[in-house]
Formats: sequence, C-alpha cells, structure tokens
Amino acid sequence: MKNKIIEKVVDEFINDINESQEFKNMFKAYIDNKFAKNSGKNDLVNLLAQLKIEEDDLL
Amino acid sequence: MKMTILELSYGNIRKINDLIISFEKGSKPIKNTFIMMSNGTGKTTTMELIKGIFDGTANNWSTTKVKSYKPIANEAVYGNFSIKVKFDEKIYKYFLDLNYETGVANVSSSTTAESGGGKENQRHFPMEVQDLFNENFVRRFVFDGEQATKVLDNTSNEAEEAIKYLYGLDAFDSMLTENDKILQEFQLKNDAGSKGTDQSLTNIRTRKKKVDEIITLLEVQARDKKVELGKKTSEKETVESKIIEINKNFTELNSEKNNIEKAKESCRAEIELCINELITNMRSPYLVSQVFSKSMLELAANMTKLKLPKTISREFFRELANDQVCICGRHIGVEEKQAILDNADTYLGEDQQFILNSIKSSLVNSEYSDTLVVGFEKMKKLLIKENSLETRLRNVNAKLEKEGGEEASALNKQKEQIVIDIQDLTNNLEIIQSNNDFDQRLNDQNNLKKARAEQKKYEEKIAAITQTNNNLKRKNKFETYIKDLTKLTNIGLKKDIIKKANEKISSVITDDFIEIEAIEKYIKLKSKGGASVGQTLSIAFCYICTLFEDSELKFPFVIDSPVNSMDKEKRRAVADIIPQIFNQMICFVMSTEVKDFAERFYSREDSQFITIESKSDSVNPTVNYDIEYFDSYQDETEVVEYAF
Repeated sequence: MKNKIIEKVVDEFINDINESQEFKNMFKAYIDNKFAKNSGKNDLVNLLAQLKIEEDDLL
Repeated sequence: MKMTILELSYGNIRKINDLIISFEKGSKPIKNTFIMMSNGTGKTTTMELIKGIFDGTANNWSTTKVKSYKPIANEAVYGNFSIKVKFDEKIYKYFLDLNYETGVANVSSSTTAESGGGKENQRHFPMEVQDLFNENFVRRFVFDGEQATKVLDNTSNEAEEAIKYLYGLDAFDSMLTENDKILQEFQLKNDAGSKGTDQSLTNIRTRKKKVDEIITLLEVQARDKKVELGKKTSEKETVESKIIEINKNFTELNSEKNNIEKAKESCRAEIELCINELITNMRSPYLVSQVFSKSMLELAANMTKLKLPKTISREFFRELANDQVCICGRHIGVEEKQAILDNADTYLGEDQQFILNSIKSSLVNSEYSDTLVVGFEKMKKLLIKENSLETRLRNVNAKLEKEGGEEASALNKQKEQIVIDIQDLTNNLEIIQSNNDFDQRLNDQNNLKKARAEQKKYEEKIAAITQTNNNLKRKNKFETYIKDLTKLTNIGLKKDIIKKANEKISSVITDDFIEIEAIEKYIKLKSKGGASVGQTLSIAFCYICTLFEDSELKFPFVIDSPVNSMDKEKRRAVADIIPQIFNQMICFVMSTEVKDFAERFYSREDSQFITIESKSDSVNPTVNYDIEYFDSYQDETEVVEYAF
C-alpha cells in the first residue's frame, strides 16, 4: 500500500484492536495484498481462523 | 501504473473520412497536446467516442445514436474509431466499429498488434486497472464542463465515488464480499453434518436469499430516491427563483407577500416552541388530569410510612442515641438511649430505599395546575393564526400569479407538483431508512433495519443448523473491522484532499475567498451558496488534480474547452497546475482559449499544437501541426461564454 494516509490509518487501526500479534501481522499483509490485488481467498480463510472469538457461545 | 494515449484514429465518422491524431514524437509520448477543432468538426464527438470505448457504454448506444455518426457527405455503411494506449510499456488498442445500417456499435480490443490484428470482442485492460474502466471513473479523466458542475452538484455522489475509485477503497468492498463467500462455502460443506433436516435448511436458505434480494433492492431504491430528491430540491430552487424574479415586477404585492411569509415563519417558530413545551409538560401525568394528581398525592402520603435506607439511617439513630436531647426536645437518658438503639432496626430498610424516597419526593410535588390547558389554548390560537396567514399568502400568490400571466401560472403549478414529488420521495425514503421500532408502517419488505434484522435471524439459524456459529461470529467480527476501516480511511483521505485542494484553489481563485469545507456526497463550499461558472470549473480542476496527484495510478487528462469561461488569472493558474499533476494532457480548445492558456505552453518542448479544420461537409478535414497557424487560427462561430 503506497498511499501514506491509508497506510497510516490501517496501521493505527490494527495496532488498536484487541487481537493477537499474529492476527495483526496477517491482517496488515492481507490488506496490503488486497490493495495490490494480489490476495487470494485462502489468505482470508487463514486470517479468519486467527480471529479471537468466544467459542461456542450462543449468538 | 501509467496510462498514456498514443493515437486516435477515425474512419467515416461525421465530417471525418480518414484521420489519425498522434500523440508521439518518434517513439516518445508527447506530454501536452492542444487540439483546435473548428466548430462542428468533431470535438464533442471525439469526447463521446473516447468515453464510449473506455467505459464500454458504446456497446449499448441506441440505433439513433449510432446512425447519428454516419457521414453526411458519403454513403459509408461502416464507421470506425480507435484509440492506441500504452499501459506502462505494454500497447493496447481499442476499437469502436459502427454499423450505420443496423445501428449497432461494437467495442473490441487488441493487446497484440499495432495494426488491429488479434481483435477480441471485449475490452481488455491490465489487471490492476480493469475494474476502473466504468462510466463513473472514465469521466474523471475524460473530463468536460458538465463533469465540473457535477463535482459541486448536490444531486450526484461524484466526489465520494471518485475517492473510492482512485484510492482503491473498493478493495474493502471486495474483502467484505470474500468474507461472505467464505462463510457460505463453509456452511455448504457442513451441510452433511448439519443438525436440521435438508428440507428445513433449504427453506431457511431460500428465505434468507429473498431477504438478501430485498435488502439490495431497498439500498438501490434509497440511493435512487436520494438522487431524485436532490434533483427535485434544486429544481424547486430554480423555479422559486424564477417566480421571485417575476414577482419583483409587482412591488406592492411582492412586499405584502414577503411580510406574510415572515409572519408565517415567526408563527411556525412559536408553534414549534409551544409543541416542545406541551410535550415536556405531558410527561408529568399530574398536569394531564386532576384524577392523576390526586392519586399521585395519595401515593406520596402512603409512601411516608416506608422504611429509611439502612446505611444512612443507622448512622442517624446512632448519633441521636449519643445525644443528650432528642429532636422532640426531651432528655435522652441511658434507658432512652438503649431503646433508640434496640428499636432502630424496625425503621431501617435496604439501601435501595433511596430510590423509593426519590419517587416519594417527586410525588409530593404532583399538584395539578392548568399549565397544559393554557398551553393547548395558546397552541390553538397559533394554529388559527397560521391558517389565516396561509390563506392570505394563497390569496397574494393568486394575485401575483394573475399579474404575472401564463408564465407565473405555469411556474406555480410546476412548483406545486415538485413540492408533492419531494414530499412523496421524503416519505418513501423515510420508510426505507427509518430506525423507529414503533412505526407500524415498517416491515421487513419496506424497511432496511427490519430486513437486516430478518437477515441476521436467518444467518443465525443457518449457522446453528450447520454448526457454524463460530464461523458466523468470525465473519461478523471481520465485517465490523472492515466497515470501521472503510470509514476511517475515508475520513483521513478526505481531510488530506480538502487541505491540498484548498491550497490549489487559493492559488487559482485569487479574487475571492472560496474553500472546500467538506466532501460529502458532493463538494460543500465554506460559507458560500454557489460559485460562478469560472469558479466552478476552477474548483473542479483543483479537486480532480488533487485526487489524481496522490493516486497510485497515473492517467492522462482529456479535457474539452477547459478554460473558456475563466478569466485570465484563473487560466494561467490552471495552465500551471494541470501539467504538474497529469502525465499527459490532451486538451480540445477553442480559439478563444489560446490567450493566457494554450500560449503558456508554446515554449515547452513537450507540447504540440494541432489545428483540425473542416472546410466543407464533403472534404476530409485538414490537419496542421504548425504552432503559428494554431496561434493565429480564429473560428468565427465560437462564442466566449464570459467576457473577461
């Protein structure tokens, strides 16, 4: 992502979310790739697997 | 990625039988090209053809439109137009073939040959930009005066759309789509291990699909209605200003009308105030009826028997027991002290009692008064006054209409219809977008909030049956992240664009203070109702230049008569800005745009000046690349829109 404004917003947002560092790194890479139109669906599948959720709770 | 236009080629299109305009010197692209085309030679046509090819809309042109390009002077059955383009170092060629007999247009492309070999019946673009070549985006760099007005026009969402496309924010949309797809695919895979029967799952999926469709439809309807509402509002303003102009001829009536309107306005303000007071007072039941007041006072009296809050009151009894004189004046001895301490518990309740005590003190003040009755009387009088003013206004309007003749009458009728249309559109839009849970008119077929709630319900049911609750939770969480990010990037980009565009505007418009305040659906100017034609164009250029300036993608800028309506200072400023932003400028100019604009490029080696002249309908136009010819060319049919 070469646009500095978008990059800054994305970095700050990712830093602030309550997720693991691994998720944060993957999320940043996914967004970068998506903007460069390089990302595949599998990247998102892997990313979603790293998301913190309250497992098996009622919705 | 950098896009450069290398060549335009015409065959049997209106007055042009055969023409090639090249934007290369040797094999090097020319940065700035000024094309002077005498009136009727094909300036507007060229802009239409370029747009039609790049956005693909030419494929859908009507038979009449296609046939309108047929040359007048010969019986050609086919016409063609092509554009040679370079994306970075790769050559692409786009063709538009026109069949004047059938009235069909066809756009095709070739990525292999200079001569048109390897034509494919599709428009091929490099992958990085393939999503951008749509109607909205193409109009950003194939730009005309109409586009400039749209930037400031509140009926279009041009400004916001431009940011989305140029900065690639549609990547966020694609993330959301991908996210949805992943969940759906996972749930389909999980069908086999699902808890419910196949039939129930299929039913729920069918119902959810219907709700999805309704949501899409409602979103489209809301967007269309907003655009329509904007159009109607500006139509109303135009009609009203015409009526005002006519009314100015009848001073006495006009002044009476203005006075009534002012009185009506102030009466309406009083009514609004009165409504607020009434609503506030109606929240006190004891003011609504004496019966309520009586009951509430009785309740307050009974509540005095309630117990006191434990923590605070225990302290009170302890202090009292240690005192020598009671609050009633009697002496407190050892026995009395013990009695107070022993019996204190009888009077103590839980701490939550303080809530009841608050209620109690509120109830004590529930004395009935005629505040509401007086308020309603006042309201009644105000409504009568407003009705009377309305009748007077109608009468004056009727008189003015009579005096103003047919034109005034037609304008008033037009206004009445517009007001009805605006009301209808507002009501429809309110139903679609309302968040009011108590509105009985709303259901999941006509309201987005209700439809989305229904969609969520089905999503949860499907997740429960397919045992994909956690996947749904992940999908929802990721969706929230992306939606938040979209909002934040939009805010950040807009702030930066406004700052940079304002810097440019201040260097172009030096005789007036104009600043962009916000980019909403359109560009909102700071403390300014409107801008002149020249200012509108200047603002639009500054805005578009800022958008492209930091964009990842470098596009050419094709413009038609960019500075015709500008004064000389603005022309010079625009001439200085555009070449700094765009890697290529192709500018169709009128002879009146040479001074203070095109002439400023004469000394630049990276510029060329072409004069295309049509002597008659039957002769192919002549092309002259001579700078002096260009400079001295005068088209007598041209009109300067604004004198400067």
